[in-house]
Amino acid sequence: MPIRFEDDAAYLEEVVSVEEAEELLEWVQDHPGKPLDWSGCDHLHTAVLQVLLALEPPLKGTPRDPFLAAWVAPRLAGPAEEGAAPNAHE
Amino acid sequence: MSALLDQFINEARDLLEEINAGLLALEEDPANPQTLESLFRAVHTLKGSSGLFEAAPLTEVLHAAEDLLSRIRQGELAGGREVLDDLFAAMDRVESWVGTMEAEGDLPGDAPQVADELGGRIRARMDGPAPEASGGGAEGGAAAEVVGDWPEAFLQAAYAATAGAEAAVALVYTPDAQCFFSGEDPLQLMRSLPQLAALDFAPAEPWADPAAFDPFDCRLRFRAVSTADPEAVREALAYVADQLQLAPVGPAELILPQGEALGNGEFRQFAAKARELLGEGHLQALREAVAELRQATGAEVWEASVLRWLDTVLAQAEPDATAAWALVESLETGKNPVCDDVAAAEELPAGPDAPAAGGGGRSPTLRVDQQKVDQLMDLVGELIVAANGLPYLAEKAESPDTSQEELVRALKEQHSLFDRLAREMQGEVMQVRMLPVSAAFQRFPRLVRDLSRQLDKEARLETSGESTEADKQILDQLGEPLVHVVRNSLDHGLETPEEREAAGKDRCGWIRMSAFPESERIIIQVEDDGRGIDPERVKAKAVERGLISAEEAETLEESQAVALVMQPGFSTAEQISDVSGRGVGMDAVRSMVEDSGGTLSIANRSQGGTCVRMDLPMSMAVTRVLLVEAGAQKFGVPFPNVLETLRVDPTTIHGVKDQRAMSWRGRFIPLVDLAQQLGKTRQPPVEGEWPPVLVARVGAQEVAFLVDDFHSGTDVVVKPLAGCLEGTPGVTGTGVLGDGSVLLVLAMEELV
Repeated sequence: MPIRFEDDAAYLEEVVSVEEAEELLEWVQDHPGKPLDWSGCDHLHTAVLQVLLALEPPLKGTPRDPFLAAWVAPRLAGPAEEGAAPNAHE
Repeated sequence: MSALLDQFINEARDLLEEINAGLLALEEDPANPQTLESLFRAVHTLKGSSGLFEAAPLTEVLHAAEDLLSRIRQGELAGGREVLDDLFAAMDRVESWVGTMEAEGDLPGDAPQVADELGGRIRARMDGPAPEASGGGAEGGAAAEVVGDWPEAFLQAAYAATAGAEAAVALVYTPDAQCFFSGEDPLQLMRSLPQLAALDFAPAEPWADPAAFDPFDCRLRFRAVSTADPEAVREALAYVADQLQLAPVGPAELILPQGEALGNGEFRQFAAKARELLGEGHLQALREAVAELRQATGAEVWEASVLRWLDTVLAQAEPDATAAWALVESLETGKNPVCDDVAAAEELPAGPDAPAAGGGGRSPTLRVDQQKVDQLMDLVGELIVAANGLPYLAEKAESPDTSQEELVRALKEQHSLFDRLAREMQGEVMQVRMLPVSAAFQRFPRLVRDLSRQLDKEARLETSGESTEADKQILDQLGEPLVHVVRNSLDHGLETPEEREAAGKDRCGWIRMSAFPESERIIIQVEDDGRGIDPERVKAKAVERGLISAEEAETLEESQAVALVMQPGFSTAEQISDVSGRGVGMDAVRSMVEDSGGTLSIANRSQGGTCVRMDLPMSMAVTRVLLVEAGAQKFGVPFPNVLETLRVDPTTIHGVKDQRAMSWRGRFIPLVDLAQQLGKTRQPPVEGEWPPVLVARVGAQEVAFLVDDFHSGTDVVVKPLAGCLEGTPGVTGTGVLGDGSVLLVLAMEELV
């Protein structure tokens, strides 16, 4: 399962495909302010990326994948990072 | 030759002219969509019509050119100079084949092989790996279209990432909104881009209301820069080519300061200081100064953006000095910097051989406005009606009832009718023969381009007055002398870019061709801003060649010395180059111009450079002449030569030995006995009357001719002397007068 949903956080792991976008969207809407930990993520589908961009959930960690770390993470930082800070330690 | 082929050949020539002009325009502005469009259309049309004939090799070459242009047009390929050179070569070949088709009805035997080679070369350009290898600077338009609206911070990141790279590709990828449903993942595609240097993404439009947000509606737009081979990038994105804008981009093309300009004097002051620091290489100090000024400037203004760019450029490990200078300059001008890739321009290969000077033996055809022919047709109709009136007149004359008076009146009426028609028809026919000077000028942009490359010079051709009209025959005869004059200007007049720079001139010189009417004449000038003609060198050479004596040389004024270059056997080129050193000097040019009834003058411009001026009759067909009598015979003097007719007091004529002179408008001018010059004897003047004198312009001087009498001016059709009469001194040709007698028209230049 590429996304592990827990009560106070969701974990994006390995390859997050287009099928997960809907479920992730619902979880983010139901858990406002709860962080997404994507440090174990290798790739996320553009639809998932759109969820992150549009709803700006707090993100935790830096993806282990260099492409995501180099090009996607900086773009999702900014407002999201500030929100992530209080929840950074689970 | 079949009428169809005939038509094709005419059409092909027009299209080839259009294509040549288009290619030249493309060289100036490689990405201009209009130029590309019309160029593509012209090639396409020509290819289409060539298919009607057995000219497969010709069609093949055109087809290859069409494909290449099509790809450039679609932005898939860069139209660099090498590519254009190939296209030029191909079109030259096509033009020569069209000539062969006209002359022999078929293509030359080697055509298939040549076509294979040319076509292959063009196709290789298409399959060729790196269109941007032709230099990033040339792609200005295309690159600007892609990166023009990128945010500054991203442009700066991209600049930093590509600064050291040899080439880069910028792209904007806007995936289809429904793309997820066809299994696409745009982010995955971006991941697959080779050598990604910068990537940015943002929703193309703001997100809809979060409650209605649909993650499967793809709204993102990606911007990316890669330092990989453009072909590799294209390949990686082959499936989404239709959703892609892509262009090769040089780092300097990313420097696009944004915002509203303040246009404040403070920045100009800073620019002066920055120049100093840059000139001395104090880059760190400059960066500090930039930082200081940035603090005092609102972040939104354009100048702040320029300063941020300057900082970005200077922050590179090896700062690009050209870009830094351009940015400093733009603070002064208030315009975005233009960073030309000078280095790339200098590495260009030598140009192809200059095209042949002549038009390649074209047979003379005339394209005529349909309207003009219709008007002629109307006149012919009236003429037929008028001619039908003549039998009635004959009947009338036969009838015993008609009085002589009546008959004379009827004849006169008929004559005036014919006279009017003849005049109108003459006017129309003359109009048909008139062509705009652009017909003679159009080959020069190409000539200047090829020659300047061959000579390693930089030259720009400016033309003006192309719409001035002149007789076709004159324009045809003008081609060759003009080619020589322009060659001379390029070869001897313009200095090399290095010499020009040393002399404080712009590296790129100019040659200006202009045409304008002046009374009944047409003036064509070729000017340049080169080194001009050194009168001292000319004098020395003239003495060396025995054209003048050393004593004469000392008394010559500058203008007279310069005019010596038109003397036969004069050539000052220190080294015979293959451009103008073909033994054709200015004297040959002069005789060609004079054959067309014109005069040639050459002078140094007061602002530097030379000016060659051709003064030509506007029309050759009918010449207006003044009838003068000398030695009891009438002669025609062309009106352009006539300055004044007068009678002079014999006491004001002065004689020294057998030379005579008279004063005219406060000057002394030579007086020549026209009858004597023509081997006749002057009629004894009527007692008590002052002798009639014609003052004529002969070349650049005025000469008075003593004549027996003046008659009226008249129009004659001058036919050149033929057969054994050819070359009779003093006579240019013959005309027929109204009474049927033959009139000799004088060449005044040969009578002095």
